[in-house]
Amino acid sequence: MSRRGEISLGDMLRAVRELAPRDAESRRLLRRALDPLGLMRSLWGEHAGEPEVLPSSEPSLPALTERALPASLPKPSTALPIEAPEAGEVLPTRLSQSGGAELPLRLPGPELEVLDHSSAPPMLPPPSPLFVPAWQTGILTAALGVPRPEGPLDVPRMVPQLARQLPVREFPRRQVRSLRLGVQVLVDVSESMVPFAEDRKQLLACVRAVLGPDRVEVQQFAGVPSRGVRRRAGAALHPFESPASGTPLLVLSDLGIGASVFSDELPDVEEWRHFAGVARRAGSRVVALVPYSSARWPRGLQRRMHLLHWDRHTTARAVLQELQR
Amino acid sequence: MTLQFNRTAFDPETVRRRWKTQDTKKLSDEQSRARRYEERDDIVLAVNAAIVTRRPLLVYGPPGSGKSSLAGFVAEVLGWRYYEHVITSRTQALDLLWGFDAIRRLSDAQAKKGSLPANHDYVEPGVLWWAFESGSALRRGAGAGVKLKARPRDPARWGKSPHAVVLLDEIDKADPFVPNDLLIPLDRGSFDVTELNAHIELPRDRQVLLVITTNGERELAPAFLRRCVQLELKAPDLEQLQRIAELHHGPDKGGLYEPVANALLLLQRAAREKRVRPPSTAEFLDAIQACRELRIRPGMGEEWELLTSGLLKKQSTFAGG
Repeated sequence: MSRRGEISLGDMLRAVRELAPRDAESRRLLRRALDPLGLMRSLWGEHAGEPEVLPSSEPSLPALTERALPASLPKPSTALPIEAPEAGEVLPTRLSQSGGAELPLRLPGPELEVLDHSSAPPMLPPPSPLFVPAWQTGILTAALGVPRPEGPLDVPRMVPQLARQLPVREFPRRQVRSLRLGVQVLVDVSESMVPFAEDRKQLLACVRAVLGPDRVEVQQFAGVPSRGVRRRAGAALHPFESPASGTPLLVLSDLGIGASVFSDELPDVEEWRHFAGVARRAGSRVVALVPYSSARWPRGLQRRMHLLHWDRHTTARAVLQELQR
Repeated sequence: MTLQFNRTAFDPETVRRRWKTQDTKKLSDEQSRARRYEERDDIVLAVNAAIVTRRPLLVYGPPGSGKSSLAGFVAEVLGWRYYEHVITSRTQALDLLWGFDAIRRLSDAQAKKGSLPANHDYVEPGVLWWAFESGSALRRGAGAGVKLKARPRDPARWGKSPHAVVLLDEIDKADPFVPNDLLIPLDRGSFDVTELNAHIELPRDRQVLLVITTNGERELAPAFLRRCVQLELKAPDLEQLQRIAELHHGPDKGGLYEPVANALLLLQRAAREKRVRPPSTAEFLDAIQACRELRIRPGMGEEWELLTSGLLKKQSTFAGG
């Protein structure tokens, strides 16, 4: 093991001197093993222009590269099930993830009911997930883990009691993050969230996989949860009730950022603040995944609830930093 | 294509030739299994690079690509001591260095009034302490003249060499901060045991190769990544699967390996399309074993179907499908 910090020029020279790679492939592999981020690319003259891996701000594991969309759209295939949307249904198609137009397309009703599959337009590839798939479990574990006094014995806290010869009535334990309290997921089904319908579905599946389905309660809302929630589409709205104390709340919402200013569903920031206050008084931590960058988040809301950018650049570490804020 | 480089530190081919003339009866089952590794040139190159630069080797790749079994193979080829530590969600960096049983010490202190137990007796050396300084770990960090209540057992799986290979399996299972907490002990090759005021240091004439595996489930800190030699393992192809089967089960007398390997590759493709965990090399070897024991041939109707669904597909392969 080295005592010199990060892999450096010295390591490179030592490896080249000792292993003496004599063919281009050996040199390429050696460079890749020692300098996967390409930080010392200029030292490897003949391969200088060859991009090997992602830059340091990006994850280096290959799971990330799987996320890239295919270069060309797949041709329509009769083997793929093509389902005509119901009349009036809003087409869940995200046109862009990087600040481009993100408009829900409302389809006209009757003619689609007799849509001929063979004349259907080419299918768009599934949208690239908002979180890096390989990191999603880690991110959710970090976001939904609740600090609980269930760790090893907290000796420094116990010693003063013993030193004063006080009876130990309760073993003080160190805090550890636990998922056993489960989560209540509040899913925003407003029209402005339609472009993210697939992401909601996929994230909910992952939440259930991480916590176990029996520990996940899902409620839907439009605008703000305090206007009423329901268990499934079509069910009657009922007032929002906070979960049991300590159970975290995960909100999947754009906080109205993508909503039209004329929309009835457009929430007021005050309504969100009020909701966050109610949840906090009930002992629940509110974590909201927002598919828009922090520059567009409503001002002041971050002081009331934890807002996380629902995006591929979000990491578990960033989530923990936000939660410790 | 054979890669052209000096296999100065790690040369499995040469060692394999020596193994053929050795009496293997003295080997433990674990050691025998470790020798059955299908190495490729890129693996040999990365291991050599990690050894000559004295850097940890970070291995990643799909399940069944041989990440965890690589460390044992390297230890066996090098003839070094071999340690394993499987990381869990509860693992802390300190667990790899040492542990201190404060509760037992408190209990002993209260039960035996007047005689204060020595701290050494409550120290449990971790896997990196054993790898760095097995002598002091065996004395729980106590000086030569100190009498210990009980000596700890060296957790080395095998080997008596002063050098060691340590496998830290599935680092991504741990809390995201664990790799960062390991940076200083790994950089310096030393750490301090606070309860003993003892300094543990890897001697300059000894070497420890740390092999760390990750499934990529959680991102690792860039500072940690930049300290590691990285190796990506790919899932074995048809030819490699057959060679792996030969290493584990001997020559293919009944023409079994190829069709079972083909079945595995088909199921792996189907699982990837459904975005579920594909069956791995371990399941392939189980299927080969079962076919041999039960005398089942690929394509033998219902028996073959049952075998593939029980051993290769398994529930997780098509869960959610």
